[in-house]
Amino acid sequence: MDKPIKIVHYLNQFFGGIGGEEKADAPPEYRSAPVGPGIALARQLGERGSIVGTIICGDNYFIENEQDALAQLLDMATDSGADLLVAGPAFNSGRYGTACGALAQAWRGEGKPGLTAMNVNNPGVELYRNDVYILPTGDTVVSMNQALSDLANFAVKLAEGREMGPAHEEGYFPTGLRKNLRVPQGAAERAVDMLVSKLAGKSFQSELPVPDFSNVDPAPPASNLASAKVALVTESGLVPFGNPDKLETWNASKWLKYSISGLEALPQGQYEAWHGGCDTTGTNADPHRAVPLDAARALERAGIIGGLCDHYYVTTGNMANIKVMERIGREMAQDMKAQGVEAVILTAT
Amino acid sequence: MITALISIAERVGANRIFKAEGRFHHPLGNLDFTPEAEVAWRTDFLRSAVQMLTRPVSGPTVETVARTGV
Repeated sequence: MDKPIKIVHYLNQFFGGIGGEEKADAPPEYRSAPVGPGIALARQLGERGSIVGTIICGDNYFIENEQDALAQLLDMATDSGADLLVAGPAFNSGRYGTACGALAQAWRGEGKPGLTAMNVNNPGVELYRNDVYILPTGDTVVSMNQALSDLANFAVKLAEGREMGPAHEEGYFPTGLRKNLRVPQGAAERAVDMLVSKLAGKSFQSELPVPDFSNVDPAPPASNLASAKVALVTESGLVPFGNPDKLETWNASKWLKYSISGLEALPQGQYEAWHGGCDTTGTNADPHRAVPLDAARALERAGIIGGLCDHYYVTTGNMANIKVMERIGREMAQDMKAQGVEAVILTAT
Repeated sequence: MITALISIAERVGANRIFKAEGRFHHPLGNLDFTPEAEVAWRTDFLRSAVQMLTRPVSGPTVETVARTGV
């Protein structure tokens, strides 16, 4: 490292020494020296860097005036002449953690490195870990010393501008970023090594952690299916031939709906599946294999279901971003509710 | 939800999962049948599947045609 790094440090009103909850409305202010935990952070940095300024804001002020608070704090941070921003540590304090994440993200938006630290259960982790480096801490101030030591070491690494290694090696919450690597062992060898470790009860590191999905509360059953309006939904990417609305074949960003009003069946040759994750030949030959309009009309005639929604709904489900899919699901459900849909048949490839 | 990929459906929290008999590429297709027989099969299959909409579930639940006895 050529020269000591210059850090601007963010604290809430409590750690900034302004006061407790009764001072949570405190507006942003600037101090030209380390404050509270910043004094210990400066000690951890030693010769490697210094804290050139401290920015402080009340937890409630930040949450209630986020844009205004961010703008003021960013101006103060910029004026401090710092190269790098450290926020927190926030431990398990939700408002503080959220502010730390938002500020580090905004600072990064100006092209400058920022980092923060908080407990895994702090909502700030899920909100900001994709955008900023967040280091794990214990859940209370008891873990302050370790957190400050980690922040100091990580800040120095970050300031060096070298490429950051994977989350589990460098000790930050995974950002979701994947990098291509050239490794000496082929995939088959690595997979067998993992399997052998697993069978032997030893620890191993998966190369593709499976996301942790939250539970969905089950919808109550349809009170009377024979009178219910039912919608057909598919993630198979079935669209009118030629894909007029340009649905993506993978990593979809949108959903579409197409009229089936008055149709007894989907005319063959007029639909095709835009789905990059499976063999679409069978569906292209007969679109009912993905959107079973013919069978659903038969159930409608037989009085088993009340009727069909006038549109079928479609997106592409493969290689999808979970957050985007949650949004798409919400939007589709809102659209269906507005049309009185009570039950859904979702076909998934 | 009608799908052949049961474990994925369970993981993402789908609550009423009906196991597709067709290939996963086309959950409501069966290329072994003649076109007419396939429509009849699909209608029977869907008739079984929609019954799941009338039953309460407490979490991801999988049913199959065999389970409901078409």
